[in-house]
Amino acid sequence: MNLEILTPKNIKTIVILAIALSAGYAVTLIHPDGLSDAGRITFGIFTTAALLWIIEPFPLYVTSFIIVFLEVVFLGRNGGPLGLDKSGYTIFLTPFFGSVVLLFLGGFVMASAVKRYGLDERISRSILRHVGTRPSRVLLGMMVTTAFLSMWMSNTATTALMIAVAIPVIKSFPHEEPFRKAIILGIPFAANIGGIGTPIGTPPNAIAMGILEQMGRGMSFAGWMLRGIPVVIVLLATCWVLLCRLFPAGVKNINMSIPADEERLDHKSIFILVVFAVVVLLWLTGGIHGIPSSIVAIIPLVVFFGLGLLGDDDLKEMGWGILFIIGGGMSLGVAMKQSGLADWIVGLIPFAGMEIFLILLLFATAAAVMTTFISNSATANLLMPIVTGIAAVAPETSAVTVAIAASAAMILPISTPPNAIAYGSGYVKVSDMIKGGSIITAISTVFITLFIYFLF
Amino acid sequence: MEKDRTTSSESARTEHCPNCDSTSTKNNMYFCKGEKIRVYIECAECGEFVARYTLSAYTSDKSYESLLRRLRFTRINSGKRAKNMVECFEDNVKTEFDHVLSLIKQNEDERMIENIIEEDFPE
Repeated sequence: MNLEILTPKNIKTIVILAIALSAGYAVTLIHPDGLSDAGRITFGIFTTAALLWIIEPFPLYVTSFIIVFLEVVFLGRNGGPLGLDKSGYTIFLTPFFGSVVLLFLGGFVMASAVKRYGLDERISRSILRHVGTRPSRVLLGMMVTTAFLSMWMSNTATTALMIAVAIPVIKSFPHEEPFRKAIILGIPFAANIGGIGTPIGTPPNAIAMGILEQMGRGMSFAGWMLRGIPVVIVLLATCWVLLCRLFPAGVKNINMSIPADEERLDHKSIFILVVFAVVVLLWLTGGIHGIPSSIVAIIPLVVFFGLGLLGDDDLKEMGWGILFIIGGGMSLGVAMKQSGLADWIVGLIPFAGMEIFLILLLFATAAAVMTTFISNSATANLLMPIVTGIAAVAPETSAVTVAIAASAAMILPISTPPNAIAYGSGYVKVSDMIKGGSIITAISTVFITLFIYFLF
Repeated sequence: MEKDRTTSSESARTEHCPNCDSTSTKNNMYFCKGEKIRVYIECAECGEFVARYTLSAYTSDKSYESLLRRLRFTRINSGKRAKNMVECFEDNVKTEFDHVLSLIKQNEDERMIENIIEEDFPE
């Protein structure tokens, strides 16, 4: 038998999995007052999922499948603790192709087409060509471009694109120029912030929308943007001012030397941009035509793959792992709501008599602290079923607060993939990231809470 | 250390010209928007067509920049994994390059490259 699979790394993975499963099982042996059998089992699954998402012995989407397996085996059996019938277990599977997953998939397809035809580079060049030469304006131009692109594309892809644009600029600076750090930090911070702007910008947004939909309180695409865009604008401006002050420019001018695009856009590129614009327009006008945004998301799928603008290779690279993470989180949410675990946890927290503002600040802080160390999707998956169960706060308010706060925490290189990419450039130290990231995270947490509390 | 190819999952081989057996080659890259980049290998000695490769990822001597290019088409959801990927990338490329050279020096796979691909990496 070939034992190459039992590498030290894999043995460690198996041990961590065994520990997480044992911890989950141990939790099911406790019989707290007011928690049903189904609730205890779900608490065990929740514990296992939380440990695996925190320690990350394997990719996050593997945990999603473990969740579904445990849910179906221990909760979803015919006549099991949830009292489901023979096909009742499918309630745990449907979130994997729910409307939010479909919406995200449509977003992935549009982003793939834009990248495949180099339109993202073209958009970034056309914005940056007009920012002038003053260092602060160059930084602002880079941050605005990054934030705009990351509303529609993955934060990781946008950061990779923009850092590649920034590196030649940075290399032209003297070695001791502090403004290099402002640029290298400004890009990932803007990508994290930009993702807040649209439902397809980052997975926590989709998770929030998915949970709300499960509760029968679905939010429209435009409804999300109404909350997200003002946050993006304020946080981006705050971040820009902060970075200019923390790492002031020693140079007077920056020559970006971005050449004009000599080639005109070809027909395929124009067609992609038109489809993109039509889809976004349909998403924003859902209240008028009544077509759900997830169904609108099918348009780019059919058009781009049907007309051969994207192929099988693009489909393989579509970010399925992220869709499964979202599906797994929502499936866990179903179990937590159905078993009564979410209500039971909420009952443990002494919210009675607490100001709604304080409750929201507590949620936002919890999300920010957790996201500093674990993935923002995992944070949203774990917190969302709980925070949306609090009677004193409207689910829309708590879900949006947690989702946005989970994207606005950016203290460490491991806090978000964009931070890790910027750190890998070697132009910033961890201490630089902590210095800028902790201030912007703290400001974001308070601002998001105030904004959602007073306006929604 | 010489590895037994019947049990090892790795081997290495230098590309040879089918016409003159030279190992000197030129890489001619073909770029077409919306399509995968293709590399046409030409014999530097006799100019004969040697092989065509379809590129799925490109890494230059500037590894970080190559990684950025790759990340544009990758979706990562974990900061820990992204950090690990960024930190290991440069080392992995350089270490594997040295490893391949040493494999060729010590135990070059004698089979034709198309045979290695057909026999060991069937679609």
